[in-house]
Amino acid sequence: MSDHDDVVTRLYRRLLTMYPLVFLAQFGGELETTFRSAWRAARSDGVWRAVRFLAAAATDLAGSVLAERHWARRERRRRGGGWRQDVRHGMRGFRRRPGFTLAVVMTLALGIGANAAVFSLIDAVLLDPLPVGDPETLVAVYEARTGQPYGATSWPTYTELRVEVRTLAGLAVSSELPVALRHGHITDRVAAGVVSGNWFQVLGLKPQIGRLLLPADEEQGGSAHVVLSDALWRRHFAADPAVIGQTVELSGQAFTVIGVAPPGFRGADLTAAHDLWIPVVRIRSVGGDGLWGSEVLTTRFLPFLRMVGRLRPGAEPQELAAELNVRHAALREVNGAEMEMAFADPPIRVLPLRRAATGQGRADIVQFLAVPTIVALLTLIIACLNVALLLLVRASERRQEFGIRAALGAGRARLVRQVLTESALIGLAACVIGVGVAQATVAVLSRFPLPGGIAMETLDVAPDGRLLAFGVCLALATALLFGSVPAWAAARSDMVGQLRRGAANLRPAGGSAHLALLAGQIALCLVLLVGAGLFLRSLDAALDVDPGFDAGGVAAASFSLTPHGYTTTSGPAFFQSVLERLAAAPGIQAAALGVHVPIEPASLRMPISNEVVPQGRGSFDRDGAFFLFVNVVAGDWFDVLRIPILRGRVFTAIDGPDSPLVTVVSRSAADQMWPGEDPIGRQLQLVRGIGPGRTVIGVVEDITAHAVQEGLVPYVYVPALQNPQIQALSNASMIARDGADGRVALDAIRSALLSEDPTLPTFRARLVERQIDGVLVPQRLGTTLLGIFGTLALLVAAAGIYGVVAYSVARRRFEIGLRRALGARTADVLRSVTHHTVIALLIGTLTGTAAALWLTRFIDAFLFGIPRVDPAAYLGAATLLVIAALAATLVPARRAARVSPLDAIRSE
Amino acid sequence: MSPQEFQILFALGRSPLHGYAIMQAVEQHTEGRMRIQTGALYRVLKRLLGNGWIGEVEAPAGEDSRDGRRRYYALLPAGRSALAKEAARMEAALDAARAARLITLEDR
Repeated sequence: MSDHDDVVTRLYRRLLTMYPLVFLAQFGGELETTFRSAWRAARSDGVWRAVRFLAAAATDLAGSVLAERHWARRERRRRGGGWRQDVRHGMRGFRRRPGFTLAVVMTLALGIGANAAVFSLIDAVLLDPLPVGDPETLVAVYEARTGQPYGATSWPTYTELRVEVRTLAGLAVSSELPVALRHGHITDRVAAGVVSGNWFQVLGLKPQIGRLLLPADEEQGGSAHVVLSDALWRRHFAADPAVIGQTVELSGQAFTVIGVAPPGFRGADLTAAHDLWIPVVRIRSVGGDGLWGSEVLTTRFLPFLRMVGRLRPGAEPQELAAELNVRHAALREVNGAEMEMAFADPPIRVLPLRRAATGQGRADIVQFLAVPTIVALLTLIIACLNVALLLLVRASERRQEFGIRAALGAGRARLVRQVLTESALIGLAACVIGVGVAQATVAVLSRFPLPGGIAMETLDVAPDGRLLAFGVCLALATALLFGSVPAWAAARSDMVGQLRRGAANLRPAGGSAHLALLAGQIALCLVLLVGAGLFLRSLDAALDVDPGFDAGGVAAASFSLTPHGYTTTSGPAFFQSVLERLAAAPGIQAAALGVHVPIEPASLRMPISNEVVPQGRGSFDRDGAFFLFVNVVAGDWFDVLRIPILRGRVFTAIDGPDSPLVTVVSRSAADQMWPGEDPIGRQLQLVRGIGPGRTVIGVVEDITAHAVQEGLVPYVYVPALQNPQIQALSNASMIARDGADGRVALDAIRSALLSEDPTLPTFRARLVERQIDGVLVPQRLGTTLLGIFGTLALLVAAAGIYGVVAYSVARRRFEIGLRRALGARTADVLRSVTHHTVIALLIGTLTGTAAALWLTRFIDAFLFGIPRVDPAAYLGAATLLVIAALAATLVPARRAARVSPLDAIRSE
Repeated sequence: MSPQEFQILFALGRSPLHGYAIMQAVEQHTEGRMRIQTGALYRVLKRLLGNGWIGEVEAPAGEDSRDGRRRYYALLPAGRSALAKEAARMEAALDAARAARLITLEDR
């Protein structure tokens, strides 16, 4: 080709692309050279001749282009083709390169599946609106107190608040307590939702069969009604419509089934899934007494009811809040001391009702889900990067293929259609496998309870159709974008000419693109690995923390007495008897009983007064109420758990039902209530103004009660034998220590309970250490997820590196052979082949470190005991990555060293 | 057979030529009356190749390959006979025209 192609010739060359590919394949080069000669001749003949030539050439070009394109179209139509041929051709291509196809499909499937799973989870927990009518006008109403911004309310306050509020169409409350269900031969322990009569109405629900609770059900007289949840109905009643009108026994009380709630409805708050619903007014007959005392429906000091309201059309939450605050203030004035609590200012808060819990619970869940979300997104990006890389690497080969097809008559549109079909096939395959990946991911996630105790089983987490569609689109877009590189390249006329001169002259597709993609993959991979490392170290640190007690060799089992006819006299007698039996069992060092076995999220919290306040009278000191955790214990509780006793003594046999009421407090509880003084001999009152006064007889060390991150918390202990009304009757656990690993204790507990009362069911028999492990869920989830995906990302990145290097070696076989024949050393050859990937590794590691430093702020809440920039985690991740990358680079690179120079040159 | 086809076949009758040479030869023969442009030229060549009347040949020895490898086209026996047939047809038409006194020997 001459060096001085002038403007006209260059323009002509560009315009040549308008011809059909098949024409260009045949005559492309010649058209150019012939035109050049003709133009040169015309030019030298004078300006006028040149102009006439150009005019004629332009007309000729237009005319022949149109004619040829028309002809080519007719030919194409005649020969047909269509999708089936595209598909067959595509499948053939996949079969010839199984490794490549598998790599692309699997990486896409991984990215799509992971995201589908996480998004479905987010959807189910956070986004899905409640299956109630018109969720936008529903609001959550809180009665806030100091330390409780999302507080519940009491029954008396509620009944007065809900009357004739202008902006409100209805105000309802709900709470829950465990009850024993009995029907025929069915026994089960279920969560009963206790609700106001208008609850279902406010939520706008329609029954599946029968009817739902009505305001009339709040009347004290008449029969007690219960509404079943759809899940319970199916589980125990085989979805039999005849269940309506039947009688079931809840904790010994008879209830008539009046209806079944719509499917999927388990209550308005995911942190408390309900199995059935009864009116609040019936709460005492099913054991509510045991939980909250006999005053549960008359005292304002037991705020256990969560409020939910429906706004009148056009009303705003702020209006409702304002109106209710006015009403609340009026109530406080009227009721005076009976309503004196440390209310916030303003006390009533109104927020839109969301599905997953309220307030703090929601914030916790969002935080918790941030980790899987980021992991899934990163995986998707890595997957796309890998696919792009693989497709680019393959692009060079395909240019030849497309060039040949063009020469055989395929048009540009046809080639692009081919690529589109192949991308669709890949996308479909990735989608199908992605569903499997999504199910697996959901299965992994399901083993971790969400914050707030939401169990995954209560959620309807199925891979979301929408997200799969999104994933497929993304997959198609990626595959199409990078796969079409060869298709478009085939459309250039000089490429066809190149083909005829020999495939080796094809300029390989973007070396710098390879570099960028590889570096990107490596960077993201590093982020995942660093995350995994941080979580792992965090988990390690959390497991190392001293919870203030020793759970080694301690076993526990739980049971409930109230549903089985035990009373406030027979109950304590039962406790005594079982404790004696257990303590005497062989191998048992110490035995005890308690309501809350640490470490566990749920715990009883009560307003405690640090002095005895006469019932209904007395002034309220704003600083004088303490909301502290209370545990009801019996036996050698502190001995079993090895909680150090600091002052005084703990409960013994002399602290019985007829003895003076006593209590034991923990160190910081004492410091709070009587700072600087000796608490022994002082008196306190549980549930201010209601309970009897108790004398402090001892001080013990604080313990970690609910979560490892919480640290040591103040605690108040009361003896079970002196508190028959408190929770111990409805929910208690026996614990024992056996001096070994706890299995002996476990058996001993079970048999002691069984021999005392063979009809009493026990549940949750466990080793306390295992129970504690369950609490470290976010750390364990993070470690598991990031570990799995980090490893997969590492494999993907390594495969990408391997592919690029192997391809480079294969492509440059001739050059390598030549250099070796000329005496180049193996080391030099290796260096030249791995040069690119080493640079990518460096860039990727640096970028990845920076990204990790920035992204890890999202997991701050879960990092426990280690700094965010933990050198061990970063170094460990980087080392792992570098080792894998080097291995992936050197294995194919060594093949370069083994290339026989003669063979390589000869094969060209 | 179109006039362009005829002229191109005729040009190739003597010796194989490459594209530009064909254009020049046709212009020469027709004394400038027919100038075939590039596009039209190759369209016709495509047709002629498809009919099997011409074929591609390698450049004869001695040609300088200044502009890359050029393809030369040569008349094939089938083309030669088609050309002869067309020439005979034209002659018959000419005879008929002369017999009908449409043209005389002087109208040239």
